[in-house]
Amino acid sequence: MIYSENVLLCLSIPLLITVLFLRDMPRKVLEAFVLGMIICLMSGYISGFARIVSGMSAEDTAVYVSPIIEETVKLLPILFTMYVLEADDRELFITAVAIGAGFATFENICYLLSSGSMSLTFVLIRGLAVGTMHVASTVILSSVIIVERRFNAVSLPSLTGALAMSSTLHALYNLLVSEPGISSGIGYVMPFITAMILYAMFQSNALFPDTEEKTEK
Amino acid sequence: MTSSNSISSAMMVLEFAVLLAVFIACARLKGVHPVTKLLYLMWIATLFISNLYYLTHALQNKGLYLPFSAMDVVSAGLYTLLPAALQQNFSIDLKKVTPFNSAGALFGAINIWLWILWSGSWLGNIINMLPFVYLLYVCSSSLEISGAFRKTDKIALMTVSAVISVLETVLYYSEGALYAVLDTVSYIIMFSCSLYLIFRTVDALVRGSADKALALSASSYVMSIITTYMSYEPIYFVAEFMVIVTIALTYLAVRKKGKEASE
Repeated sequence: MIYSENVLLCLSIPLLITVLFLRDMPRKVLEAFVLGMIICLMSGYISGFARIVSGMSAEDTAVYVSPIIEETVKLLPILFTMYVLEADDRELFITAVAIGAGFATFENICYLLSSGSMSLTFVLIRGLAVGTMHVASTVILSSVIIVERRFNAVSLPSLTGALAMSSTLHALYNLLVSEPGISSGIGYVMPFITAMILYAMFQSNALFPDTEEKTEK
Repeated sequence: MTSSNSISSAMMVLEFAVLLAVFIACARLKGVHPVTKLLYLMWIATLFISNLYYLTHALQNKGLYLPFSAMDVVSAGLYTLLPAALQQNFSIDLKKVTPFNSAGALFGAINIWLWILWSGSWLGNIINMLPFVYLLYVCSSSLEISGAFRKTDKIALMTVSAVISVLETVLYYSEGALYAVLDTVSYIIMFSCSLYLIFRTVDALVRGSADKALALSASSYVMSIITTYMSYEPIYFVAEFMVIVTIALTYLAVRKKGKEASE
């Protein structure tokens, strides 16, 4: 057993002190990174609560319920950044990516502390698969929001749809890696391929179509 | 492998192929409003991922779904992304209530209630109630706004919806010969309605406007989905095939929209 709260304190205190000496975008990135770690702990609490209330096993909770909880708690600070802090597109995207990175980092640290980190293969799989999954899902969520906001088309149905898409992708990953063999192999590769496709789209500016492309209705 | 499993696998392969082809083709489309295109692509991607999830779940022999799972959330996403694209395309004002769109919403709510009765799965269906009502409300509104449905069509569709609702409710409480007769009548009505909407979609694609084709293709998809959910094997496979056809029709309607905008 590990004390996740203690791990969070140990990791976040130096980062928060660093925040005091930073300005502008680097400061926002670090703040969002710490926020990502905090919401990772929060999602752990909520998943644990859901497991006790529903009477599911730990594995069933991880496969069926945790993806929905994790994706929802990642979306909430992105929405807060958009609506309350009124961040511009660049700020919103960077904040979302940093939240995903913070979430993935804290989850990986807790996992390695509880399971050990002696196998390099296991550590690499953990980093490339789960770590990439959280960043990829926040990239998807923030990209959808940014494109819709550029056309004044952000709506509850479209946000629900985006959340459902990222939750299902996450749930598919968890389902694939829950069984050994070829299923796990496909699962471990999936987030990395998704991230590479998103990166290619980001580099070619295909992720955010320009408002000038706006056509008549 | 049983013949039922073979048909099911063939249907799944066909659906994967259609979804992949539609996704790639739609991503290359020009002229469509970026938000409509984005929402439509997200809908296709979510359909694809949900099918993968369903397939993985079946291959892993994990048994029945739990009372609440990712599949319930993905259904909510599927029921909101398509109407969100329609709402964007037709600039639908949700506050503008008409007898036709409110009848559509009511039919959606009745369907959810019937699914709860038939399946006994109440949590997932309750979560999906609002998105499904929204889907039918927006589809009905788009049929009105696009001018795809005249007054007689609207009255006919509302009557058919009412008949299906009553028939399926009575079916739940009936058995024996009465059940067999009502079941057959219900199938005939649902399939006729789905096929009529598909026929009207094809007609709009060939001769009508893109807006009409879009509204009709989405509506034929919804009707095919309802038919699928209320069918048992082997008729279920026919309904599933209709769903695949309607997915392809929605793409053709979006493509037509892009062509019209480019001209």
